Amino acid sequence: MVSGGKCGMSDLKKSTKKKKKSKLNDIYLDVKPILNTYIFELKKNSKKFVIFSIIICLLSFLFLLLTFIPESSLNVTQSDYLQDSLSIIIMVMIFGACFFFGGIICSEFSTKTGYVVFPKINKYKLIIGKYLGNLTLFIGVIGINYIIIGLLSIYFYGTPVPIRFYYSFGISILYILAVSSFVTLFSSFMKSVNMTIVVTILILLIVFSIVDQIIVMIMPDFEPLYSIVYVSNLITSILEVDYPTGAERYTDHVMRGFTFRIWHTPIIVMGIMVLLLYMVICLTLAALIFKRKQI
Amino acid sequence: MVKNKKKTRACILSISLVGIIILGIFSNTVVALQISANSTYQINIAKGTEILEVSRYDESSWEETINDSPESLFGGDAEKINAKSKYTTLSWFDNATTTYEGFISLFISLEMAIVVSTLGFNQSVINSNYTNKYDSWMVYRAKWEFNSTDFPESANNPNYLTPVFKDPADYKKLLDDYNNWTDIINNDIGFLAMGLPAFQNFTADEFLWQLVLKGMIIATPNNEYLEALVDGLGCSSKIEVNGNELTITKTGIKSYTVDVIYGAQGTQTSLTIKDKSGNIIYEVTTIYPHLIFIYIILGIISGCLAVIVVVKIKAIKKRRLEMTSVKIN
Repeated sequence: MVSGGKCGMSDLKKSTKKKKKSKLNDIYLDVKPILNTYIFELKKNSKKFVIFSIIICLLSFLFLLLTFIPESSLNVTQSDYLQDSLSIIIMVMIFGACFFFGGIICSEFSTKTGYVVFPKINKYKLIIGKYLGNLTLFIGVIGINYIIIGLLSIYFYGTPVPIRFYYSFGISILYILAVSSFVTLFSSFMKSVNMTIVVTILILLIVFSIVDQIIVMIMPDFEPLYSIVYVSNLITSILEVDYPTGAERYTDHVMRGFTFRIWHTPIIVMGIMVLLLYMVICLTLAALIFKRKQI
Repeated sequence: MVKNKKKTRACILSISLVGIIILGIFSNTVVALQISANSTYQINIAKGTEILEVSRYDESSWEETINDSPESLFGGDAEKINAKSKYTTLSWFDNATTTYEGFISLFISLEMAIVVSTLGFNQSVINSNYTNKYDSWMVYRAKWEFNSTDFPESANNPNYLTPVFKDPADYKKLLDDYNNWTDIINNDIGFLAMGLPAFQNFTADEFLWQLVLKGMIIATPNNEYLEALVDGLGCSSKIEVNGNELTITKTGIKSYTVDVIYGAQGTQTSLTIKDKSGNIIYEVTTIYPHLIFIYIILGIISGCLAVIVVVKIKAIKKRRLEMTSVKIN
């Protein structure tokens, strides 16, 4: 009885171990297509990564060249220097997001590779792999920009780099997630990659700004938190030593009895929530549209 | 073949771009644009920060030797060891410095200038009475006073102006004009009625000491500029120039010397106060954050090279293994 019991215990242990192994194996098999697609996207889009990295380096070099002109004044504080240096990064992020994520979904349909790939591979896994691959490359590009700016600030001002610089990088990553989700949404229903890129650049650069101005003119008290362009100001404004609060977050200009209000930056928590909402809503909508898309 | 050529061209272009960027980053000396071609001196200052640190302070020797306290001479927390002061050079440009600008920068504070302007000694009056204009480089810096804790975000003086005269002999002219003006204002009825302390007359030696305390910048070649400055001012034998080192012998309670060494950028790299026996009573040394940046860059480049070498070695080993297995088969 005792020996039988001992055998029973060891068999139980073995079967538990086997179950665990097979579970892990199942998870690995589930994740493997995503991993393969992720690595494939990294290799496939490495040229885009290099091109954008070169653009970032060139822009940083031009900014540095301007700084080295004797009459061109350097910023007094390190925080001001970091703010000025990061002012162009938002434009780079918009263009980069459109180029990296414009073809996430629509490229499978425009080139008709979806007919070959999707019956064999779970389409969601493919898209997740593509999204994560492009996201990694794009965060890498922005990371390079932050490293260059951080190094230059050490050159001019010494260590330490303020901790708010790292907060700014964190907000940039959230912004990349939001903008990339926005572009992925458009990619899910547009027919061609080029159209997706053009339309999303136009919306992000022009349409949002015009809509913001119209709404602020009609309702000056209404803070344009819906606008991803307005929320992007958080990336540079978080570098301020005393983060603006209350009435410091906007400037009123009165002209002929009419008040124009310029909003500078959202509250940090609200800004982060808006970016996360953009990400969740856009990705959810993109998934739903993609699901219904007929091959 | 065509593809290889394209690859090679792209490779060369990328390497040249990276090379230009690295060259720009490593370049920390800039030749100023010169409007006047007559100056025999050049300004060699670079934008960026220099940190002055109190590295030594022998309080008992100081009290036995020198009249004034470190904080009264150097400001802030200068009496504390490891206290730090900071200058960030923001910009500079060619300027025809007026007498009023010279007075504000080198002799009197802006607050006092505003006070005396109410007595009629304003900018236009001073400039019309003392018509000299001095060809100079006007250097804008932000200054943080000596602080024993972390530097505050905002500078104590974000618009710290330092004129660097292209002709060192101009310092003497300005000093003479200032001494003349102090004689006038110290006897002005309105000024006397205010009950303010009299403006101090400076001898050549005292003026040079004031220039040192205000963070004087010199042009290059350093030794020639310093010698011309000392000779031009007509300093006594208590002031000596030895290369890029300025030695000032002063007398407080006892006699002591101040050695100031100027670096390649024309700014002070160290200031040492010694007693008669040559023992160091007080020392301020300058740290340049540029160097930290260079070490970081070198570290990154070394790391990247090490990674590339390791990857290459692994690839070669892998290829050799594959070739060996093919031969065996």
